[in-house]
Amino acid sequence: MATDQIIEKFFQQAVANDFTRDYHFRIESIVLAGQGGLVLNSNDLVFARTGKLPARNIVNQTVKYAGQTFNLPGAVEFTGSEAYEMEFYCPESSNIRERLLSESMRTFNAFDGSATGVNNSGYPLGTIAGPNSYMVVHQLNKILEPVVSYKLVGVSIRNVGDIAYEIAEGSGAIKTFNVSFSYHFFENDNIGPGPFRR
Amino acid sequence: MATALPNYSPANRFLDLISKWEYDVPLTTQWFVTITPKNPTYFLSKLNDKNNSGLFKDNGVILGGSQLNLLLNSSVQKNIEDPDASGLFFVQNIKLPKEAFTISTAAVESMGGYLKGAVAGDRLSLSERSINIGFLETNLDFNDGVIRPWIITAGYEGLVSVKGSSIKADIRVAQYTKARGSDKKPRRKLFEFFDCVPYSMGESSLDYEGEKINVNSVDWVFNNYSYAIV
Repeated sequence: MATDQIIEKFFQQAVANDFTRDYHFRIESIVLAGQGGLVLNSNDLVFARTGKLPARNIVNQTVKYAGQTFNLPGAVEFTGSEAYEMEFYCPESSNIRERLLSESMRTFNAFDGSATGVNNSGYPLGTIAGPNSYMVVHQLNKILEPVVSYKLVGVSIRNVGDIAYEIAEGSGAIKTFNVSFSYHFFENDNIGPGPFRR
Repeated sequence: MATALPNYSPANRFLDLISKWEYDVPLTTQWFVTITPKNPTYFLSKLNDKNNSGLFKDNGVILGGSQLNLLLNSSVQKNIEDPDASGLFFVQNIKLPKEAFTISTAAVESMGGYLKGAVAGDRLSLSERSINIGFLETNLDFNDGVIRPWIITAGYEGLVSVKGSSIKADIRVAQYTKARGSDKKPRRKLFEFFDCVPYSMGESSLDYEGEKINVNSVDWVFNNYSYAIV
């Protein structure tokens, strides 16, 4: 029997479902727990140039028998979770980058105790990369409504990139910088709670 | 269309079997450990006697969030049968003791071409087998806060205990795997070690090479053990 996946069907499905485009994505919020923790909302995230939907991988485990290799599912890993990269336009005040650098200092500060536990005033802080630190990202449709939302859990800052300036030969180009975060895992509407909760 | 493999193919048979839960390869990361002192009050008093500086104390009161509290408070550590149980979170690895008995040779001298027989000897003694558990070092360090004073106390008290006055603990190791029918978190093995005491902890070193995760290894002796499959 001939396949029904013909060009007319493709056209019908394309018209009915459309396609996601490379700008159908928004980062809604980045909230890093604790006093002085970084909070980026829409006023800041409107400067984000790039972002991506997170990936999930089941590690392949092989078992051999009678000369044949069988591929079995192993543990889950969240590919790229150690470095979720984003690129930001840098506003003239550089306030977003400065706040990211402050968060980087807060994440590792050996002496003032503000990373975890309590600060010098005894104010209890959220745990770095704990469950209350998260990032919410949306995949959008053509009318900019979220169709799928992901919550990256346990977000913690990693790399704040440099900005190179052209003092002598600059042409007024808008500068950008990269930043990366890590997270433990992500949740979305399609991943229900199971006994292993990932 | 691809031709299906013939029925007598060993690969097909293997695939049929491995598709059944009983023969599927288990998840090896789904396990946890509980350590439950047999007589918590006596245990705590003995540790206090020998090790005033070894416990997490604040004006004489054991800090509620300490790992010692996890050990002593059953509602925190939870019974292994509890569906919410997750054991001691800072246990990073565990080596279960082997089981063996000795074999010796039964023969007369000069047997020529005849095979010398094998005779069963004794089962491995308790001193020749131990449990090894790796504990993640956290800010309130379980190793130096609980294990070190425990070893020191056991050194004074010895391994003979009276019922109701014991510094020993029971260690349970539960292993889980993927769903089996309606059971979403089936337990596939349970090892229970009775009357356990830590007797050796490894040395630790400090350097300036960079931040790292420390897992400190502890050996435990036990009196007896049991195990259950499924």
